[in-house]
Amino acid sequence: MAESLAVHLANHKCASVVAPAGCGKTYLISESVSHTKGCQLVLTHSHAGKSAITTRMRDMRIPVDRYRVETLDSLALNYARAFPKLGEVTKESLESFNWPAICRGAAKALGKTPVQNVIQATYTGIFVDEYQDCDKPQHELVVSLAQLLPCRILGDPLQAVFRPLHKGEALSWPDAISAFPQIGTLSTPHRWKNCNPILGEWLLHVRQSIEKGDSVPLRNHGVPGLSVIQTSDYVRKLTECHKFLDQEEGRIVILRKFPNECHALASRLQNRCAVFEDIQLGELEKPANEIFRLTGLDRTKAVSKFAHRWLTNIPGAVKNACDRLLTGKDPRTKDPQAIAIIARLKQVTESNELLVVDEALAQYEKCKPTFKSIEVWKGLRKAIQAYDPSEKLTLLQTVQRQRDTLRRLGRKLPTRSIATPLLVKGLECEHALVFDLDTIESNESLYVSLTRASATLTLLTENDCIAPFV
Amino acid sequence: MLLYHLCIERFRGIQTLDWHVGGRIVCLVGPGDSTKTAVLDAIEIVLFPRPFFQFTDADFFNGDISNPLRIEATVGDLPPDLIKEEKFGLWKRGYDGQIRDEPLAGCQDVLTLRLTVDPNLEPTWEIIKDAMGEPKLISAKDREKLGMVRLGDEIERHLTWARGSALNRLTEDHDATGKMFVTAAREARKTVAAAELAELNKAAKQASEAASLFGANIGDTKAGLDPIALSLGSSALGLQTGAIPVRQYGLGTRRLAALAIQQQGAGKNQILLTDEIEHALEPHRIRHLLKLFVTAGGAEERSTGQVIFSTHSPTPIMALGASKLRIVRSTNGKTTITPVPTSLQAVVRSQSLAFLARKVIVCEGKTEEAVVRSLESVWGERHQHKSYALLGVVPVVSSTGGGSNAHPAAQSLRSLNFNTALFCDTDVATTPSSAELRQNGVSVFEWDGKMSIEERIAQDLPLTDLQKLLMLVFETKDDDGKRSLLQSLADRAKKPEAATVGSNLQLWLQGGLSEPDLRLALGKCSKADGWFKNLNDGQLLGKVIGETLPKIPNSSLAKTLNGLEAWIYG
Repeated sequence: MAESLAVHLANHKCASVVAPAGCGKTYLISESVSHTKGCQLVLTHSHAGKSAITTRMRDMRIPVDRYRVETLDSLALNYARAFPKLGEVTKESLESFNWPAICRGAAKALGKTPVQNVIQATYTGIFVDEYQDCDKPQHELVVSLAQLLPCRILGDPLQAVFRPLHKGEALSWPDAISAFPQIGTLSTPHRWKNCNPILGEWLLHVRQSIEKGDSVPLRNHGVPGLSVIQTSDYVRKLTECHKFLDQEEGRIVILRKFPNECHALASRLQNRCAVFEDIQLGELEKPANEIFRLTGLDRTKAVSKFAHRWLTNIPGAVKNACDRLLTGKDPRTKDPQAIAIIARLKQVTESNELLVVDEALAQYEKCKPTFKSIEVWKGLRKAIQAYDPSEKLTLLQTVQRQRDTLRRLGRKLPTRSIATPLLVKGLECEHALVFDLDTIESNESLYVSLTRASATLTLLTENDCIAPFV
Repeated sequence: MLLYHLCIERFRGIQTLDWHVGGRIVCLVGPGDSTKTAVLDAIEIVLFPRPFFQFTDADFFNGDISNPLRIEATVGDLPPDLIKEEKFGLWKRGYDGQIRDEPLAGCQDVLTLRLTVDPNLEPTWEIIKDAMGEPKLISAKDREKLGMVRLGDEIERHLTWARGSALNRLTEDHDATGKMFVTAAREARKTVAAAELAELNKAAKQASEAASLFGANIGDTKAGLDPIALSLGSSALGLQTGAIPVRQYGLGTRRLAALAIQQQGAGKNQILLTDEIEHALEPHRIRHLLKLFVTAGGAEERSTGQVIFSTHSPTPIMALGASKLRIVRSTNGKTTITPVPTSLQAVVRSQSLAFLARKVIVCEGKTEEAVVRSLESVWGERHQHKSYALLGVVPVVSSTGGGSNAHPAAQSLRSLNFNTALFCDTDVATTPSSAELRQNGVSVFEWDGKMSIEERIAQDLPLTDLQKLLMLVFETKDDDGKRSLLQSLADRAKKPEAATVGSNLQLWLQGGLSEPDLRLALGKCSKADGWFKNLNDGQLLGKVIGETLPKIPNSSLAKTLNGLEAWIYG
């Protein structure tokens, strides 16, 4: 069925397919790409989704010259940057990453022949994944692309977790597919086929219930691999998490609602798992700006603050020595690691060179600490290393540029991580634990949280049923 | 491919050049050392299709390597491969007579390539665009797609199947040649092995024995062909007519053959560059080659690709016409390349030599030209026998019909940066006026009084010399001609009966004609009958005038011509 749908989709100039979670959407895209000629542009939203599609394409041995996976935003940014006059995008919009303006600018530029030529010289068709995540400006961009090449869209209105973030620019599913007639719905839960087919069927059942507004009882569900722990006790929940992390096989993820909750939980779990950060690296904004602007002891303070915020398991001797140094006292330490770090920090105070900051951070790493987020930590170090005063950029702008690079590269879910539903949407793992199912605020987040894992699903909740919002 | 704009900084003899090319067929014209070849080299190197080009300090202007040399070429008619998104699609700029950073409405799509050579002689080829910030490198493979071909270099190589040769590019499958070389080499080795080489083998035996004495046991040896010496390259394969290699033909034929093969191999949408297109070719072959360039083999003028070439021959200038010519000038390192206005079309057709000159004397009419040319040898005697050719001085007539074009022609040539003189009558008012021309840097040589050159000569030369001139003309005529010449002179002197006294002017005066009247009549008559411009032997004319001038230093004729002499040899 999926195969014939893939051919069908490949042959359509303008079409949409509804794809419930885990029903082989990336497979459908890859399969459909293999039934086309030339190079297909596959657009998605998140870096996570991008990496999932790329992996699937490789697994299916689709030659790399047959497709290019890109996020809508980075495509828009590329074209808006290259043709700001044709797209009528202001410099400010580009520099401040004003995405709606950037998407509309790209759409506008793509209305002009010289720019259309580039798309037509490069691609023979377009697939857009996760269409439910499009806001209106992105939709306009896709519609302008659809004027040039066959364009097929895939999505699931029940996974539209981002829609609340779009506010006034939110796009309704009916509006989205008005330009792309629906030609099918995926209905085989492939994600669970090998590990846990019953869980897959149950999740389809849950989906239907959510769509209808019916609640799903969690007692006596009879689904293997599904554990429901009814509790509201935080300590009990932590114990469950530790048990969960003891599993040896497979990629596992713990889901929480807010990023700061994720960080809090990670430290409570002794950093046995990393926080899967938003690639925007918003956490880097403040330290990058502080370290860049401040000088002397203030800069040293900012460096030390950053280190202590993002590293754990730093030896007590180091901590004490640093605290004394920053309050203007003699560090008074004989600990060799502390002496080395203090020496580096003193250099930061004395020198104006940013590279000295990186050397201090490198010295911290020699204590063999645990990283709360390796991406944030490395993000700052790489930015300092790449910083070039002659470019007249701030350190934060260097960070942003590297973010763009990462955006182009795509990335993977770490083996053990804590994340928000928003960030893992589109990614999959073997085992998932939903830390507080009862606080989930929408049907979309709920459905996304439940459908990440292919083998086991652990739900921590106060309630005895899943109650959809009506 | 089409080159729209070229910008050079510090390359060879060019400190700066900023050139809007403006055409598919472009002929660079200018005197020696005007940096024509450097311009062609710059285009070749910035579009260079191979990964390495050996630069030297001499490639930098004045050999000064303290600043990088830079060449920027803005090209259009882009191959589809290069405008793919992952290549340079996003780097597209626009050109509408100016370079725009984006392909705005009314623009051609273009890319700007920049070659930078740093003081370590390390070249970098990049595509640049302001909006994109950092430049993006362009590989040799991608540059090859731009289809630049320098026609006629390494002629010999292009007549073989050497790597990268035009013939090689024409050949689709090379597998068979490889096998053939291997077989040929094996056969050669077999032949040598089977041969009786008694003397060689005797030496081989001695060598073996000697080696074993030193403890190196190399066994029984004999002479054989070393496989390495036999590694035949494809450059050993060349075009042959029967058993005669084509490279033994005459230079012109070889050059044409190489050009033809190169052009064939490069496809239609290429940029062809060639220096001195006339080299070793007869005028009819040049004309034929130009026709191929202009039409690209079709019936109409070419609509794809581009040909840029230089010439030192008037033939292409005449054949191509004003619109395809570009005048190259170099002043203190600043090279300028200027199109020729269509108003100069007549000069281009009739006086193509002027465009190869350093100094041009625009003569109002054929008489002026005849006089200037006739004075060459007389004047040369006073100036170490320097010829006009050596000085790069070319007298030209502005147009064939009448003198009214001389002033505008001088103006136009001046605007093309020619060192220009105007030698003219003052008998009619002109636009631009002589004063305006002088302001624009044209040296104007004219005399007092509204007189044509013939009238001026008749006024200023002593009577004895006028008599000599009359006799020069007189001798070229038959009896009827002589009669009618005298009659015409007599009519103009308003003494028709005087014609009967003969050609001796003294007799005319004795017959009661006043000297001023005689001079007036001589002036009018020589002008109307075109005495001087029709003289076959201009040297005699020059001899008479040239030798007389010192005798009449205060005459207007002498002052003007002395001025011209000073300009020519100055």
